[in-house]
Amino acid sequence: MSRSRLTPAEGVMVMRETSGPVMDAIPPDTNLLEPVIQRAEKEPGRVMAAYRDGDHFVDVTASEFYERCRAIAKGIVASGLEPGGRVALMSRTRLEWLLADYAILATGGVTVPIYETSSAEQMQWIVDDSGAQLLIVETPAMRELYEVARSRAEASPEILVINDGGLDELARRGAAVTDSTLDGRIGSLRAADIATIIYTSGTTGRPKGCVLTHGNLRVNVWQTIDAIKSMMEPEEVSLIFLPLAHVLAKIIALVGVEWGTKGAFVSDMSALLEEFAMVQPTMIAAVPRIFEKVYNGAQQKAHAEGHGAIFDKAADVAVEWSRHHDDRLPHPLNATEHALFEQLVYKKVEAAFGGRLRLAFSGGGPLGERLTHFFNGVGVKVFEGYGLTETSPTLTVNRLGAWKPGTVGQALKGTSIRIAPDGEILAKGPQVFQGYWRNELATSETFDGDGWFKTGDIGDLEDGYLRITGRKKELIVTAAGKNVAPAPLEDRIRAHPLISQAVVVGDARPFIAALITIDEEAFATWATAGAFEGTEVAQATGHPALLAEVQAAIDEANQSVSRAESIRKFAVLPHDLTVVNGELTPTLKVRRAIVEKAYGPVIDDLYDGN
Amino acid sequence: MFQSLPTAEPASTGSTHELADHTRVLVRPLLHTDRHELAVGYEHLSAEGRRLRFFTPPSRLSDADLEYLTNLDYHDHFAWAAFAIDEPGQPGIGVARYIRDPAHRDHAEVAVTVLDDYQRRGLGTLLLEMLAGEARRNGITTFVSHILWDNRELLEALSAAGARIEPEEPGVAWVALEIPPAESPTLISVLRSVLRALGRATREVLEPGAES
Repeated sequence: MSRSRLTPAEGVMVMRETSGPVMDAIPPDTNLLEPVIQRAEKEPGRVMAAYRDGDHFVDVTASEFYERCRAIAKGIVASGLEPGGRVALMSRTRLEWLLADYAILATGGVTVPIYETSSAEQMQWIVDDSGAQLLIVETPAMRELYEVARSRAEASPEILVINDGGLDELARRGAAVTDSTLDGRIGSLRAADIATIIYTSGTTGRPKGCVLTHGNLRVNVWQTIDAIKSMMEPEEVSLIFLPLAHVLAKIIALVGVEWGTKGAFVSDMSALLEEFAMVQPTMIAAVPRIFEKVYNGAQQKAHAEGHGAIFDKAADVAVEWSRHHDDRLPHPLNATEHALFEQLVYKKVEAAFGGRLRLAFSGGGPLGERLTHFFNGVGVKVFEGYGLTETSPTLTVNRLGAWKPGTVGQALKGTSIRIAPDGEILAKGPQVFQGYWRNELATSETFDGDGWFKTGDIGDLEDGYLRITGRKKELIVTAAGKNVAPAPLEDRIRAHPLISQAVVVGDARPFIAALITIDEEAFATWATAGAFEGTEVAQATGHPALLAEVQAAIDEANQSVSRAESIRKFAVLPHDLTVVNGELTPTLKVRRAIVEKAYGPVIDDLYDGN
Repeated sequence: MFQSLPTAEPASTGSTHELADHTRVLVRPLLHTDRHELAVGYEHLSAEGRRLRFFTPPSRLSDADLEYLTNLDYHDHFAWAAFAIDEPGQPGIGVARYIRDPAHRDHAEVAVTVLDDYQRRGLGTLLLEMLAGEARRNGITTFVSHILWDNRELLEALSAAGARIEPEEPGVAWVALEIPPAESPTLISVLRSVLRALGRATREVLEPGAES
């Protein structure tokens, strides 16, 4: 529907634009409840979800899921939520997250997810800005977090705590609400109705709410399934462990609901390996960090057991094998080696994912090309895709028969990708959002004159495959897929009188860290008062008193962000950044890439052992 | 090197100009004695102005920074400073500087900055025009700059003026602009027409924000 036609005069642009297959317009009454209702009616006994209870997972059937969802929805209606009303939802990934989400949607309400690791400041902003009337949180601690911030809040929504029986309370409250009332709400749902507002951080300023409709999300489910259906079997089991507040986890959960997959929910990633073994998933969606962890874990284990050389050789063979198969060139010698390592090494890596994994999707950040080949060589094909919260999220994905490691694949059905003259990736399609919540300025800035969504990423098209090469936004994307705006964090750190400069790092790394320089003048005064007069900054970079001061500044900055975005480690540099040392441009601009290069070993130390 | 001795003196003494809103400014070479003025100017610069100028701005300009920014040889490192001469104390309100790239001696990195309150009156354009003239006399043919992509209108203007714009690290564009020969329509007249077309007759060029 949004396939963009090129006029002959734009012939030069042909290389710079690609579209997936044409897609029919979506029916106006399309909504996210349909697949849940249909499943409950047609296959009520089908297992659609599972949750962990001690040492085993408990199955939940389609009818159980839908009945519970209706009960909660009635309670939300009884609480006074009208269609279009917002409900904030803060919880780790668990069955109740999805139940609450569908219940909110069934009432015509809008789900406003909040990351479980969000700070009080972020939480308050999201609740206030969205105008949420009801706040569903997982734990009493989350309620307290909100109440700390609440004194300054404009709205004071009711708070329900899942772990204190908040959803049961809603079910009780809804007992008096009739089926026909709820069915009326569900029957009124339209594709254009807002389903969710997901807050994302910009380069500067407050997080902005991405408004996604029922149509945006449902159509992205269809588009994603269209791309991957040739790889899917009737009975799939997925392990869902990414935060459902992140649109990548959400769309995979929705794809599962639509397909009839059993989705097993995991709240705590620390026991992930155990849960892979318990659930033996056939499909997962993950961020690059997960694949890195599995690789590093296998490598370290092999080295610890004295098989390091074998593992490393096996890894090289897997990568080479994958590269040749990628080229469709037979390579007999390598194939023999590959077969040799199959039992010795590769089976063990496959076993780490539970042993049945066929479909692994990676998103949220760039997955190393070598790692992609390694896993393919081992027998776990990883399909990297691309999208943003603003695009529901999927725009492109690698798939069977169209798989090119290092790229993020080809455009989905109904999706057009264009490369602007300055290299920016532009997108059109029914999954692209309409705009930011009550922020017309930001909305107008994010679309160009022809209605293309400006992704802020820079890339190239290679035979219809999109390769991401850079970013226009000054954002750091961690290996865990978290987008972090460094500038606001650095501003707050620099507010400390002893600190002259703060450079936040962490691109493609497991967490955020910071390099700190000390204001020499302020340091001299401080050192004198602290009775180590005459000490130079360079001699004091490891002094506990100085580190405590810097930690206080870091802690203060961290209050503005979630734990996932927070600075976990820092290093105090012996001197200010200088032009002479090549750390600043001649006009004293701080180029993050240059600083990271200049302090490579210091930064590596910060991440060592992680 | 002898060029970096603070005793180097500029050839020009400066000139008085009137901005679009009739503010009168004195533009003269930045002097070693302007250190204090520069430090004060930085304090008066908004957080966003500092970010656009320095990307990750220091909390204040250190003594070493101030020395570096005012110790000019007026050949490899040159800067014009602008002063609002009708205001009490004749405060410094803008700086435009180039620093020659020692590896490519006909290239120089440029930064033009104007205090927030004095932006959009044509001062940046004027400073860049004068800087281009000085650079040309000193054998520089290409201005290079690192500019945040957030500086969108500026990048659009530079692109329209024929600048090469390429992505650098996340958030940053690398920009190269050839300085036209003296006898051709000046760089700035091109820029001016572009800026006018963008609906604003005046705007600081290369970098809003400031240093002053």
